[in-house]
Amino acid sequence: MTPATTPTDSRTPLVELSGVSKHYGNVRALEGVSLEVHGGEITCVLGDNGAGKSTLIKIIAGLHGHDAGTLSLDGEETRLSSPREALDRGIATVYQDLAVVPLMPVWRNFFLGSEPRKGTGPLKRMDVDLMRRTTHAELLRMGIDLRDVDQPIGTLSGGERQCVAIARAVYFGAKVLVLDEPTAALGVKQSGVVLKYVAAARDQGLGVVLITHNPHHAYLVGDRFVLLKRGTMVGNHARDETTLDDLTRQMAGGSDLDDLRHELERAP
Amino acid sequence: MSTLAPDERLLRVSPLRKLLGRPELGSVVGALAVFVFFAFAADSFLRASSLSTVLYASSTIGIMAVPVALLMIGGEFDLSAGVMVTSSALVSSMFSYQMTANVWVGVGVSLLVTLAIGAFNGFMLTRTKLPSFIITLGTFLMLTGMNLGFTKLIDGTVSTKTIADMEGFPAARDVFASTLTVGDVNFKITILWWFGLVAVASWILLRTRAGNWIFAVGGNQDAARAVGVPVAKTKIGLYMGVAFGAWISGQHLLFSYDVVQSGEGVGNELIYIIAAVIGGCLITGGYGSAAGSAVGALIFGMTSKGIVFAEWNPDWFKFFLGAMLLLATLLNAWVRKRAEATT
Amino acid sequence: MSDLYVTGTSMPDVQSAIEAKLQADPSIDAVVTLGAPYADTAVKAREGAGSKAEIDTFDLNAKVAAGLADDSLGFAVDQQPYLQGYQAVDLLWLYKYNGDVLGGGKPVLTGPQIITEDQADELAEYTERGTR
Repeated sequence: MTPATTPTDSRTPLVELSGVSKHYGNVRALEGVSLEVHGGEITCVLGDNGAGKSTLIKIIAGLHGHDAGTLSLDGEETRLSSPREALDRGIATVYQDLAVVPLMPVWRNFFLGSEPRKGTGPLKRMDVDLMRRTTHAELLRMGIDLRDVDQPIGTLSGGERQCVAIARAVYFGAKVLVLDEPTAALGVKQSGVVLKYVAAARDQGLGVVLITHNPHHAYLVGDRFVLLKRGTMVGNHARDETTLDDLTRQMAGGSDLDDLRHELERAP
Repeated sequence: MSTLAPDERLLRVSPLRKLLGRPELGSVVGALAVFVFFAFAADSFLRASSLSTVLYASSTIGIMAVPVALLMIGGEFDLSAGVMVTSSALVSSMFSYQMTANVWVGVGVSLLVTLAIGAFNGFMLTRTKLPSFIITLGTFLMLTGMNLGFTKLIDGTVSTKTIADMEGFPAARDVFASTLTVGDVNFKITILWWFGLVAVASWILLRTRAGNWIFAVGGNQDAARAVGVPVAKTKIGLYMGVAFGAWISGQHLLFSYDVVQSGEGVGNELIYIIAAVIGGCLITGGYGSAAGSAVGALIFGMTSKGIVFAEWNPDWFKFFLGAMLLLATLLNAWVRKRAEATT
Repeated sequence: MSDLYVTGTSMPDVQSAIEAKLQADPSIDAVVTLGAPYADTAVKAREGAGSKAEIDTFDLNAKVAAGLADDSLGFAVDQQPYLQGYQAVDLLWLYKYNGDVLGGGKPVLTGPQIITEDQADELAEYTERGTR
């Protein structure tokens, strides 16, 4: 596991987008976006609503294909045809709605799509004991002691559900973790907890793509920052090339914010 | 990280409470209530022969209620389930009569045809993404028409010809429509088919990964797809499960009554859905059980036959039936609510 | 005499309903079904209930003819539908061809014919043919 110090350009990125565009009919969702994700690093994708962050995620996660540009995994140019393929290639995505089934117990959700089985032929069944024990153990490792892994996942708090989703991705050997606005609906304390887990995942050698519209959270953990505005890339910086104030200004609209302040000033 | 203190927000719940909170066990309370009610309201209800009659009525609904419940857990409906049973019986009968010397060939062909209809339903759903209500409504109408049309075309009348003298008929009757005697009470073999289906379906739902997929696809289809669950295959499989149930029911119909009326089955699709819902399946999907559908079928059977045993005014039969079903469902819901409420 | 409503589109329901009625009231000595297909079902129900009630029916089909012959059914009330259709056309033809009015303006009955065991044998081939 390479310790994460400063991002080195000589290592092959785990995921690299180069000039990627996506159109829905005559709507330009993304145009000419580039980003890199290295192992043991966190790349933050920042942008306001409508900037194209969701579309970007869907391309990396294999839900949609890109219309122009290249997507490379481990240096190899490729095109993902399904979420299953993305998962098989080590890209785990944690969506805003968390991709969990609220009525199902935590242990069933944890292993959904990757259920371990035992037995042969028609008697092939899920290894329920293993699933229950593992779920409990993995969550414990992340600091959640769920006495009852049978409780429907919908009864957990937002932050806890995020952590289950992240723990799930880490457990299944993801090489790249893509997080879609993980702290958007959370309070300060819960956000802190989630960001700690994200850092823990990074420390285990995963590459992380963190989508957010909160520059403070981004700057707390990010190594690279990509800024999107209305589908185009307006910034792509490494951590030592920018500051929190820079990011905040660019995020909030830069000169647009100055104009807004001017307009909203009370008449003297 | 060190072990944290146990979650203090989790209250200790008594095992009995937990038991009553399960989808099917709440409906067992409803079933017990209906049973006790008719035990008092009808003199002849509590005899072994009467209960055998009730079980037969319940089993013919129950055999279809199991796959219909699984489909409902998977988030979809099948309005063609009722007439599919008749289609299956018609294919068996007419194919055997016209094309072969042995009824078992007809039975085999019927299995393939019925499964194909199920696959058609599933395929149309996954391709067009239209609501299953609409698609299976279309299939329902088409099958109703084909049942009549093909029977008139091939046999000249609205019912099929007798095949009781064909080779293989007695054996097929033994498998699908015989009566077993235990002591001095008779039980129809459909009860065994019913219990067998419940066992297999429960095992699939609770112990296999296909079952996990069924819950997921019904609870949150997009989430399931996003984590790699084969949503289309699961739904097509569920529709073929309904078709398989229809085949079993159709063969029972054929080998029990020999002559098949082409207009049979219309209206039964709603009864299967009712049985599944009374048994605890959520109409919106993602929750329920096969055992629950069995309890629902049992409640329906006990109520519809109990009213006859109680010799109430027959003109009011449908009213009594609807009222009792409502009461059973309300009782079930009330029990669930009490079980889930905190002290 | 009491009514029993059954779901005609579900034979197992018909069978179990009749069976239940016979089990509830052992004093029943006859069951009359309003359609030929249900006669055979009623016979099975009687067997299941261990009852001695006589099964009678309206209308005729091959199974009813066979049932009358082997004494599992009592009698069938046949409205003779083939005759109803045939005679209607025949009357019209006679009127057009010859101005004849059969019956002299009064009703001409095409039935019913009460079929019992005695007539059942000779009717067998006609029911097979589908005209009775």
